[in-house]
Amino acid sequence: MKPYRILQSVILAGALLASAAAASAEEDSLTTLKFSDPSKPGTLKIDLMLGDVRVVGADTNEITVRADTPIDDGGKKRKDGLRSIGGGGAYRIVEKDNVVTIDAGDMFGGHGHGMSDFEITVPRSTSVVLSTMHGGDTVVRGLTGDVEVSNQNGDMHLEDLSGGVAADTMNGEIRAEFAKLSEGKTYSFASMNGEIDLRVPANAKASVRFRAQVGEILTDFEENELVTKLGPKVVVEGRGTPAPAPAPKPTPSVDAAPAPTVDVSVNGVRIRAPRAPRPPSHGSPFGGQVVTGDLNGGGPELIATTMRGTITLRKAD
Amino acid sequence: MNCEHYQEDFIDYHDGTLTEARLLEIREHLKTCLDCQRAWAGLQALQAGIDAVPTPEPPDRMRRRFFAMLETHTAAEQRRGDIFGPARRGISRWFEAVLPQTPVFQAAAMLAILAGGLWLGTRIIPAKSEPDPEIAELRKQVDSMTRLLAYTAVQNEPASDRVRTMLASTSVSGSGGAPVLGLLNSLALDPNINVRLSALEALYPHADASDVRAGVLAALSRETSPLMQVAMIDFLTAAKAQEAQPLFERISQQPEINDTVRAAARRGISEFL
Repeated sequence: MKPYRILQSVILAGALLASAAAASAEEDSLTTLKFSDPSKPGTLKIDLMLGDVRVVGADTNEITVRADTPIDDGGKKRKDGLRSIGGGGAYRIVEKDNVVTIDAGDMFGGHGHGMSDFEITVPRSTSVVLSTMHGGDTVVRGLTGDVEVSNQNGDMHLEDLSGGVAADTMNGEIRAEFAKLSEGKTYSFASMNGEIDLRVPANAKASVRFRAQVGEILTDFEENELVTKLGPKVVVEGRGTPAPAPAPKPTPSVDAAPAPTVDVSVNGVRIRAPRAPRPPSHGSPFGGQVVTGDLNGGGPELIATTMRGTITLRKAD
Repeated sequence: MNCEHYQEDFIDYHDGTLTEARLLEIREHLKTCLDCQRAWAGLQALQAGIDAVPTPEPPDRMRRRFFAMLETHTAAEQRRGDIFGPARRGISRWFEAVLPQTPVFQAAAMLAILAGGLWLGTRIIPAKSEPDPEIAELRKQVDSMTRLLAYTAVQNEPASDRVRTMLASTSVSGSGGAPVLGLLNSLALDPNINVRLSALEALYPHADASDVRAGVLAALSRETSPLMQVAMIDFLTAAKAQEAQPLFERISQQPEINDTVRAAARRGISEFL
């Protein structure tokens, strides 16, 4: 009897695993689509209530979206002849004017329940605008387009990016590793409570401005590589406050800033304008401290702001 | 963030012409979506601007001529029958095809026509030696609405580009002008925290201007990000903006507000004393 019992248990466990796998496969979804004009860089927009997202650039002209929840197919008839008239898919994908929008951002009404994990592959030149309302970890890797990531609670890992970056999180950690910093781009990071860990090539050029109220600002670059100055306490002239301390003379590395002009956009029109002078000596917007300076002679703006976290600028491995 | 399927119904939401279900859906979404809250605030400002445009009263002579023309036209139509019906329908179809259907674009087109009409009027009508206060006020409102629309266009730029634009504005001297207004617009309306932080930083050299402090104070009252709230409180504290004290006191007394924000407000109040 004993061998039969073991066999029964094995068969039962196998059946349970198979049914679980089948159910899981039923819930998963895989969508492949293209930008309407694949010859031009497209944009991927993701609006998610809660979940992990991984966006990876690849040498492809297709967008592949894999999710652990079913897609809202708009009530199309299934193979079994049924169609969903409610409570169906958890997210929706729309492509219009070279912009692919994944909408899973509504938890309590309207569309889906807003909780999905995504694995997405896009062409390398794609720009990404990603917003996670309540949490979940975010990975964005291998893109040359601009990246904008906003996350309330999860961690962010940004790797091998060369377009401009604007990333912010309330409580998560931001880790960004760059293969290069492109002239004419801006890299800006903000976190309320989390750590900001930036890794750039040892020979990367950048103009840095780091601001922290409570946390430390750390680096493994030598003093002659990253020439910095610490901003004084916040003082605004003409408002009955003591006059600010005389601004220190610019360091030789500031004088040697290589690019006198910068591309800016005014009302949607791109123009070249004089590079902004070094930031005014007003210290930190948080009353904490601000560090400005030039890395390897200066270059694209590299900005990090945190209230309670630590900012670290490291040499990439 | 994609909120277009909510924002495209904002005009109808404002007008109260949506179904109950759709109205509730948008209302629930607005409770949690910062982007849509900003878009909604912008639309309300736009609507308020439109509502505030004074409606000119036609002079009596024009009124009498208009009604005389109307009577003549009505009588002629009755005599003629409906032989121009197909032509009228054709013209209506042409207008339907040419004019934008989306409410936001309709509003934009209306403003463009309004601004164009204003420009044309100033070219055709000789300038008075004394500026008409109503025209000046109208021009101010159109400028304000145009800025809002222009800002909406700027928001289509990547956030990292918008940050760079804010940083480039630090080279602007003086306390007025379009660049400072642009910074205040970005501080109040931009959905990205990095852009708003850069706008605030670029405003520091202009902190001694009362309109700049008023703009930051107004933005603080609508701000929901603790990171930005603390940055704005410290800006106003550094600028010795005594007018911010009542708001600081309200913030410091509200237990639902982030501890760090309340601490910053208390620090600001102590600086004012």
